[in-house]
Amino acid sequence: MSEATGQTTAMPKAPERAPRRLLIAAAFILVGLLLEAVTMGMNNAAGFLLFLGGGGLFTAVGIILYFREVLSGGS
Amino acid sequence: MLIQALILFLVLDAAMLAALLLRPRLIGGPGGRLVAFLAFFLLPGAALALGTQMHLEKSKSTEFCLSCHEMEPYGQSLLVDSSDHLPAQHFQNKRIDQDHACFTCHTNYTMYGDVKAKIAGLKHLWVHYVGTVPEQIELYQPYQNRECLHCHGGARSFEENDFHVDMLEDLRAGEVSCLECHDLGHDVADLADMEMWREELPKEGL
Repeated sequence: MSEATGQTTAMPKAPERAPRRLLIAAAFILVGLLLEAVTMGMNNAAGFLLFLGGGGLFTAVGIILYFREVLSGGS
Repeated sequence: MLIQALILFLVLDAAMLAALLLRPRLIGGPGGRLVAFLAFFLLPGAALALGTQMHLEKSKSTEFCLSCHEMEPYGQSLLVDSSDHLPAQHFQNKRIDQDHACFTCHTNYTMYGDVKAKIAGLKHLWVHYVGTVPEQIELYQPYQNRECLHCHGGARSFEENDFHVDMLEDLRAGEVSCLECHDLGHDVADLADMEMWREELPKEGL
């Protein structure tokens, strides 16, 4: 109970679930990292392309989504 | 070392992401925000940078160059049993690092030579996967003496050679090409008729 106004003020609740955009960002980053890991054993052109075009792209998209979430203040 | 660091980054990042997603309350606190910054940006960014460096290093290897089937005859030409064949002699006598045989002779020994070589490599990838591979593969530019002189320049065996002595300045200036005399490079057209030093490239050399 607030003494000044006589109203109750609710404490902000900690989120039960991670924001949707963060979930998607994490998924992108994990897939990207997985692809990067797979290409580590490859020593050919396909491995290079899979690393950059697959792993690199997924990771970069994940990072961008994370920053979007941070800059938008989670709105 | 690079691979171990990369694996460590990957595992660490996956664990941190999993922890943050399973316990989203962690993100709320200042410590959690720092962990999120690590997991969502610093570690994946570092893994990407390290991985790129690793793959660029790998792309200099003989195994990498010969992984495209178009290059197989050129790999075979390193095994020709003839003292006249320049690439074969360099490879078989370890005058070049066998692990980086193609790159050693075909990179560009200038300030941004490695970058130019990588850009040329990207063109190769484009032609391999998207374009049409020409019947006869040719260099983008005429072979420069600079690439030969990177190793041979200043070597006694080169400078005091009877054939070289009179034309050293011209060779250095590029007015006379090394290939005018040493003209047997990758003679892939006649490979079938040639004797080979061995059947396959030495595994320990790749």
